[in-house]
Amino acid sequence: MSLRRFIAVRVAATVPILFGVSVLTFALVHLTPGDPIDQMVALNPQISAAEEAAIRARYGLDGPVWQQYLTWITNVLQGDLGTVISVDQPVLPYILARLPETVALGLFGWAIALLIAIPAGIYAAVNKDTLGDDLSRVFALSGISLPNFWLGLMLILVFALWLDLWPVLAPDKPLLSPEMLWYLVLPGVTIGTASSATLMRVMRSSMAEELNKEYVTAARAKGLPERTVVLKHVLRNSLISVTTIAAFLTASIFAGAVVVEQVFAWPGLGRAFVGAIVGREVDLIMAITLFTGVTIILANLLADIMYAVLDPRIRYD
Amino acid sequence: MSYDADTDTSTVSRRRVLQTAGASALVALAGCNTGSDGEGDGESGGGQSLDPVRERAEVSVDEIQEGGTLRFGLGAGIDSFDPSYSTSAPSGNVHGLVYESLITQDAAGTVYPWLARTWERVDVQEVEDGAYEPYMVPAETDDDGNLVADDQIIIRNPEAGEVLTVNEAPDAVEDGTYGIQYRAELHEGVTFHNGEEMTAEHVARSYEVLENSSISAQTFDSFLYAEAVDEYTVDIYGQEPDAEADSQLPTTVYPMEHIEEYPDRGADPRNDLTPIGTGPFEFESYEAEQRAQFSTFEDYWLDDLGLDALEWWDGPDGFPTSPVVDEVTVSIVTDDATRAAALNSGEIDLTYGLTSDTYSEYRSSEDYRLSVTNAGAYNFLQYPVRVSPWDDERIRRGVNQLIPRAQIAENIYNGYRNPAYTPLPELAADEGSADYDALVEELRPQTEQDTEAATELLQEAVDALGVETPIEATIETNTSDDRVREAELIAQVMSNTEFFDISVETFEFTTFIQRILGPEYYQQGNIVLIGLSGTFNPGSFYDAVNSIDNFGQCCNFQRVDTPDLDEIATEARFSVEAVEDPQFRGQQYDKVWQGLIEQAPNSYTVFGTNVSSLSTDYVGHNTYTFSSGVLPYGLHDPTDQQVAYLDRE
Repeated sequence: MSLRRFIAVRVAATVPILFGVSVLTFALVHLTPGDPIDQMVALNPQISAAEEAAIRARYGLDGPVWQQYLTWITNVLQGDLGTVISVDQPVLPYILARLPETVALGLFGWAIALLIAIPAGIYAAVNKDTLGDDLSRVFALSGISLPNFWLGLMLILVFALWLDLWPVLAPDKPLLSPEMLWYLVLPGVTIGTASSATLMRVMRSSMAEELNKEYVTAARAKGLPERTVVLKHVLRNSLISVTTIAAFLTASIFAGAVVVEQVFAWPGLGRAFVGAIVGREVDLIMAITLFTGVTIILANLLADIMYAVLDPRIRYD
Repeated sequence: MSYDADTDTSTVSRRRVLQTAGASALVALAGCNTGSDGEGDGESGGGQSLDPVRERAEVSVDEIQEGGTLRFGLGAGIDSFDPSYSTSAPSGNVHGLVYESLITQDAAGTVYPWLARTWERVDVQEVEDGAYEPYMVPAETDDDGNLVADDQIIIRNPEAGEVLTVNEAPDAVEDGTYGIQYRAELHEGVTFHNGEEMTAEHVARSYEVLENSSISAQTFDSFLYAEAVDEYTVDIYGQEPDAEADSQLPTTVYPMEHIEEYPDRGADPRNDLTPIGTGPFEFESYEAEQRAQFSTFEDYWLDDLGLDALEWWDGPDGFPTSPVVDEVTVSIVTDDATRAAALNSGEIDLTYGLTSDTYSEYRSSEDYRLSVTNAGAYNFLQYPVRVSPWDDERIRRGVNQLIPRAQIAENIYNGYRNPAYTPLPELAADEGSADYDALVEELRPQTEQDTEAATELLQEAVDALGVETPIEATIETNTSDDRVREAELIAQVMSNTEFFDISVETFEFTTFIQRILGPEYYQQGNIVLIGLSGTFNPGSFYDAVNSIDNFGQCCNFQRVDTPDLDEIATEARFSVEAVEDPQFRGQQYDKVWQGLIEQAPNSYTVFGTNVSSLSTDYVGHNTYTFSSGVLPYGLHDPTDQQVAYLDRE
C-alpha cells in the first residue's frame, strides 16, 4: 500500500469515528438538564413564556433531540458550526480566535515534555538501577500523580509570587513576542509535566530494551564510543514507541489545557470549553469536541507516518 | 412521604399579569462568588441615610493624586458591552464606565438626577381595569398559547387575545391613560464619545434599544411611553401608579448611531460595534476573555459643567468632576486563586468575589485592604410547602427557630454576613418598613435560634398530624464551598432533634438551577438552599420567592402561594397612596414581612455583603451595594462624595 493510499484509508476511517463521537457528545450534552435559554430565563424572571419560546425557536432549540441533531449535522456539513448563544456569535470565528493560544500552549507543553522526557529517559536507561534512575522514577510518579491545577498554582506561588521571575497574568503582548513566550513557560511546564513523566518511562524502558540487543553489543565490540552507540543507534530505534505515546498524549495535552487555561487565565479553547459546558452551549461543545477529535486522529496519523521515517523497514501494508 | 397532588394551573388575569409582572423587580440567583447578581435600578424616594458601606474610606480633596492606570480583576467574562443585552453583574462594571442613565443611585439606593438636571414626578393617577383595552390590537398565539407580536409588547390581554405594543402606547397617553408621569429636564452640553450632543430625542428613542432586548421584560413592565417635549425636556410615562417608577422608568441614554444603526444585539466590539456612551471613560480595546481597556473621555460633560450643575451637590470645593485615574484595564481572570495571586503579585489593584478564606490574609496585611458593604441579598431555605408534613406551617416555623443564623454568619462566613432575622435586608428598610428596628424586634423572637420553642412547635405539629419521626428530607444546594457548609450545619442542627433526619445533596450550579426550576420539582419534598440578590426595592425581596407567578422561575421553586400577602405587596407598590405616602408603603410592607414569618414558606438565613479586595496603592475605594457597580462607583460617585486614586509610591 502506498503512503498516499494509506493516508486516504485512514482519513476515510475518521468519518464514522467522528460521526460516533458527535452522536455520543450530542446525546450526553442533552442528557444534562438545561440550555443557554434556560439560564437566561433563570436569571431574569421577567422573561415571559412567549419570549422564552421565541428565543428558543430562534436558535433551533425547540424541537426533539433527534431533530436538533439532524439540523446540526446538516449545518455542519455545509460549514455552519452554529452559534455561541450567550454572545450571539458564530462558532467558527469564536473557535479560530482561540485556536492559536491553545496551539501555542499545546506545542509548548509538548516541547517541554519531550525536552524533559528524552534526556531523562536516556539517562535513566543508561544508568539503570542507579540513584539517578531511582530519582527519575520518583519524578515520573510525581508527574503523573500531581493534578494540573495544583501544580499550576504551586508554580505561580513559587515562581511568580515568591521569586518574582514570572508574571501571574499573561502580558498584553502579541502571542509570538519574547514576553509572551517567556510567560508560556509556566503553563507549558504545568501541561507538559504529566506527559513528560509518561514519555520518560516509555523512553527508559524502550531504550533499556534496545541496549540489551546484539547490535549494541556488536557496536560496542567494534569500539564505537558509547555516546555514538546510544545517540546514533539506540536512540533512533527507541523513538518508535515514544512516537506512538507522544501522539496519544495529544489528547491528554488538550485535556490538560482545559485546566491549565483556567488557572493561568489563558484565553484558549480549553477555557472556552469549560465555559461552554457551564453555559450548556451545545454548538460550541460539539464544535470543540469535533475539533479535538480531528486533532487527535491527525496526530495519530502523523505518528503512523513518522514510523516509516524512523524505521524504513516499516511498510504500510 | 406523601405530596399534595394539587396541580391546578392558576388563572392569570390580564390585571394580574400587569400587576405581578410590574411588581417583580430584577432579581437573580446568587450561586457563587463571582456569579451574576441582579442590579435593578432600585428605588428610593430620597431621605435614606443609612450607609451600607462598612468603615467607609475617606479621602481628603488635597491628597488626591491624578493619573495612572487602574488594573481591575474581573472574575467572569463580559457577555455584552451593551447594558440592554446583559444582566450580568461582572459586565455591569464595564458598562458603568462607558454609559450613563438619567439618574444615579448612591450606595443606599437614594435616587439623584444625573444626565437629567431634574427628574420629577408630574402626575400619578389610578388606572381602571381594562383602561388600555380600547388601544389594544389583536395578536397571534404561538404553539404554547402565548400572545406574540413583532413589536415590543407592553401589556397582554390573554382572554381577548389582544396586546398593547409600543405602537399603540402613544395613543393611550394622548388620551390621558397612564398611571404615572415623570419629567426629565436634561443638562445641556452633554456629549457622547462620538461627538453627538445629547438631546431629549436621544432619551425618548433610547427606549427603542431596549425593545426585545435582554432587559425588555423588566423595562416594559413599568414603562409605557417617552416623548420629547422640547430639545432638553422629555416626559416619561408608566403603566400604573408605581412607587418604584422613580428608579424603574429612567433609561441608559444611547447615541443615534447606536439607536439607528446597531443591530438587535447592541454594541459589542466583538462585532466591530463600538460601545459609545456619555460616561467618563471611552472604550479603547478588547481582547476576548483576556482584557478590556478604557481611557478618560476628554470631553466629559461634568468636567465642562462642573459639579454645581448637579442641583443636589453640596460637597467640598475642589472635589473632582470625574474619575482621577486616566486609564482602566479590566483583566478577566475567572479562577479565584489566580485572581488572588495576581493581586498579591501587584498585577491588579482591585478585585471582588474572592473566597472568604482569603479575607483574613488581606485583613491582616498592610499592603492590602478589604472594603465591605452590606448588600441587598440573602440566603434562604425554601420548604416543599405542597408536600406533607411541610405543608403545615408549624413544622416550617419550628425549623425556622432551629436555624443557627448567628453561627452561620460568624463561623461559616467569617463575620462577612449578617444574620437574617427578617425577610427584608436593612438596605431596603427605609422603603420597606415603617420602623425597621421595631420590625426586627417583633420578628426576632420567631427567627432567632430557640430550640425549646422550636421543639414545642414541632411536637405540637407532629402530634396533630400523626407523622412518624424522624422526618426524612434532603437539603439541596449548589457546589459553593460556603453554601455547602451552611447546608451541612443546618442539616446537623435539625438532625440533632428527634424530629428530623436531614441529608445534604449538592449540584453544579447550572444543573441545580435546571433541577429546581423543573415544573414537578415541588412534589419531591426537598428543601432548597440558595441565595437571592434583590435590588434597592423592598418588593424584590418578596415577589421573586413568594409570588405564584414566579413559580418555575427565579425563585419560587416549590409553588409557594401567598395570595393574601400578594395583595398587600401589590398595594404597597401599585397604588397612588403608595406613591404619595412612604409611611403607608412601609406599613403595608411590614404586614407582608410579618405574614411571611407567620406562614414561613421560606427561612432567611444570612444577609449578603459585597467584599472588594484591593491593594493599598488604590486609595479611597469603597464597594458599591451591588457587585455590578464595584469598579465605576469606587472610581467616582459624587452622590456619596466617593473618589479613589492611585498612589504607587
